[in-house]
Amino acid sequence: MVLILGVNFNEHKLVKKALETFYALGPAKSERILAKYCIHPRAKVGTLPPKTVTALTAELSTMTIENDARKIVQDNIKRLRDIGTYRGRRHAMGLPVRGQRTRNQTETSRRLNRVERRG
Amino acid sequence: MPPRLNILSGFRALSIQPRPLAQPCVAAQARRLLATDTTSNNASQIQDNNFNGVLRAKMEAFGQVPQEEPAPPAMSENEMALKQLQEAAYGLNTYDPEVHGHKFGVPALPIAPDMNHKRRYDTVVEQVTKLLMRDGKLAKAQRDMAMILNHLRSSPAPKINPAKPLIPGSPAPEQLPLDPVGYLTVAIDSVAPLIKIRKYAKLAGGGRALELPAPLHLRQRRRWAFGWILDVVNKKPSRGSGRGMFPTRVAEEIIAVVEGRSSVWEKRNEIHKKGTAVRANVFSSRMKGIKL
Amino acid sequence: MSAPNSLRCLLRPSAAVPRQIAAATWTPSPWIAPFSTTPGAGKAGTTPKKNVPKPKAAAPRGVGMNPTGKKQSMKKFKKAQGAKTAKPPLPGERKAMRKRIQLSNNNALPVEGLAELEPGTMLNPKNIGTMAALPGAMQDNLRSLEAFKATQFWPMFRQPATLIRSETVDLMNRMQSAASKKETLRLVVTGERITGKSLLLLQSMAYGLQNDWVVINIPEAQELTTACTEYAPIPDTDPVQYMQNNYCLKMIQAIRKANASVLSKITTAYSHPELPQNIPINSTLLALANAAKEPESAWVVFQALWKELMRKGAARPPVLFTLDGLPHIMKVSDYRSPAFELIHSQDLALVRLFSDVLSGATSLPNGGAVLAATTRGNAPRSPSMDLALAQREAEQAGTELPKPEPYFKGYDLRSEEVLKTVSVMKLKGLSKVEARGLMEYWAASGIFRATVDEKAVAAKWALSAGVVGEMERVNLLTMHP
Repeated sequence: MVLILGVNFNEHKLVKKALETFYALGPAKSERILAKYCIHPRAKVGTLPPKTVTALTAELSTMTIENDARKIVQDNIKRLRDIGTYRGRRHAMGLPVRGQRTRNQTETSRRLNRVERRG
Repeated sequence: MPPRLNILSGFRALSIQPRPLAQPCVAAQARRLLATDTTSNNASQIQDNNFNGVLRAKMEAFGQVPQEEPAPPAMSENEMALKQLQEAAYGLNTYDPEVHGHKFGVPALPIAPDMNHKRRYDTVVEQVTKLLMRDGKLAKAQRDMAMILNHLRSSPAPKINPAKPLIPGSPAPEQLPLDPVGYLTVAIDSVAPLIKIRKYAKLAGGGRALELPAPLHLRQRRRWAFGWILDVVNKKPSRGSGRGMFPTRVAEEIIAVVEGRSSVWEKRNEIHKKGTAVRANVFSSRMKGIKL
Repeated sequence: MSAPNSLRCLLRPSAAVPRQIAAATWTPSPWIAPFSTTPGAGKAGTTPKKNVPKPKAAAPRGVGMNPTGKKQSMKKFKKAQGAKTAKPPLPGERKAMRKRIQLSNNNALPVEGLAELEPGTMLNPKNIGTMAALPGAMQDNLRSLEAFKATQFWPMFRQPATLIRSETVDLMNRMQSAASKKETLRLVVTGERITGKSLLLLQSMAYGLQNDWVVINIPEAQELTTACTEYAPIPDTDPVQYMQNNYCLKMIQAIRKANASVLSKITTAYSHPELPQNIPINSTLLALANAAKEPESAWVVFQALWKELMRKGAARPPVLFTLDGLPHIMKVSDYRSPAFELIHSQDLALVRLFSDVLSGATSLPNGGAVLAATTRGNAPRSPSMDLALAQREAEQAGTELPKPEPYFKGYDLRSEEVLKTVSVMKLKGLSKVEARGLMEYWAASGIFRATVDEKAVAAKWALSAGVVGEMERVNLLTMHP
């Protein structure tokens, strides 16, 4: 088990996939982080030298990820809600925001759209 | 009572006269003797023949010509034609269809069983290959089959389990890897069931089917056996990766069958036991009026 | 009533078993009857004792009632629950199985009169069209160099052997003359698929091992450039080069294993202060190679070893450096620099080392050869390499040089530069004499079951156009016994 930014990862997990478990880190950003520390894309977490692991942790701690990134999204929604826009209202009601129909299949918006958005 | 008038009876008076049968050529007769009879008591008969040139070629093909005889001088095409004309004038048919008109001659008899391009493989191999085929990809199935045979060829000799005897007449286990097709055949024929259970719907009362044993043909038996082998193979996980894995699994299962480790043997026993039991139904009163 | 008796009933229904006995064993209950004759027959074996039919064992169908009272689930959507007893393979096990190389097969017939490979065998034109067996010790060396490939037909024969073809004799003579004149033979082996390019490299390695060369091999160039091994920038290089420590360690271990006898005879001439452990002057090169134990020090050790081998004079052996899969290093690699730019293959230090020797930028002072083989299966497209090789071929033939496409932008000048002055050997089909030698060997090994005569050779030769891999497919991968 290897600890990156307080999270334990299995040694057989790909580094790229491990990075992508953090909120706001997708394929593109994780690829850039790998390149920055000269980690090849098929590297497993277990093969990283301890020096690189600490460097990765340090790098991640400077980035806006996890709760910081979530906060930004929530602030944006809150702003929309506060100024009373249609988009803000739809978020608050848990309904689709961008003009989709609501007759059926609105599971995603019901799950995600709210003022204090979690995911 | 006079016979009834029938239009067919009118044809009895008609007779059809075919063309007279062509006289079989003397040379052909001599050659046929040569082809079938390997003893040399026909030699004098052949020596007297007029068709030494033609025969010589045929005899050389069979390696029977006396070597001391000098080869006839080569004739030009024109001379050959004149000679043929002359022979024709003596009333001899000089045209031998097996020598003239074929650029490369005719193949030596008997023709090998794999000379027909539609039947060039062993029957078992051909049937099993078709059973291996998925989505009509015959070429892939053939490649798989070749890999199976190569695997059988390069694996060590099987250790026979005396509790699961192979089909009588099978070669010694040490001989099996040297003849992979024989190996495959022995494995399949050894676990092939003799019978299948045939079901007559709703005849057993209570809506149930009446079961009867029914014999299988050789080809059917092999199909059942290989179907069982394939069932086991498809459930097994591969130990490696890559394209050679499916044939490897099939070959390993075939070896397991010969060594008596395979679960296919149980399937065969099961169907035989069931067949023995349901034999009673053959003379069941419910089967009256039903043709087997 | 025992099971064998019942089975015998099946074979000979009338004579073997008295009818009364068989009839007495039948249970009156209609629906367990099929199972009752044989007490050992599976699940229903216990039913006759209890005389109560269990619905579990033989449930009546179509009766119209559901004894369990549960709602019937739709079978179609139910997931099949197979008994998963087999242990899944451990990590790396499946790949190891795929890469497994079996070099002998005790079922195959030993070939009478098969000569073993000797140092001069492949130099003699008289041996063209004959097979030569690889000696046992050399098999281990070649195996550690990864000269054998899993797709080749080694497991069909008693002992690995190779065909000496005219190209083999040609190449070995050129290698020999290069070594004797202390020159560098720089050559690219090219040709269509399965024409024997990799096998020619194997033969050259075998020649090198037998004639006391130091043999270095990169068995798959794609392992270096497809971003599947670790990399790190080398400090103080401009432009930045990258070392691949793990691969380097693997390579040094292979060199050490394969060339142990040669390396133990040569002594070091430089002191190497940068090494992790102190290697005094006049210790053997084998000791130097042994210094590489950790991936971190592998590149440094490799550099030291290379420096020693490149020292002029001092009874240094010739060096053979081979690489299989040239197109993989003739393009931009899949690695990325810290600035997120793709790294060119020529910026990977190990690749650079090879291509410097191939291009003639550095020469081997003690003579030797550097050979690269192109690959056609799973190869990336490298228009520059194709063009450069076509140009070299035209130069050798004295015909007009092919020109680059004026509007095509995919050329890679750095790759073209590497192949500016190499010589090219294009492999084609076998001659009929060579094909016959090969087929006679197959027949002697008990695999080709017909007589090898003019007709058979001509037939197989025509089917495969003489291409040696196709000949193998036609003869060794068939459904004929």
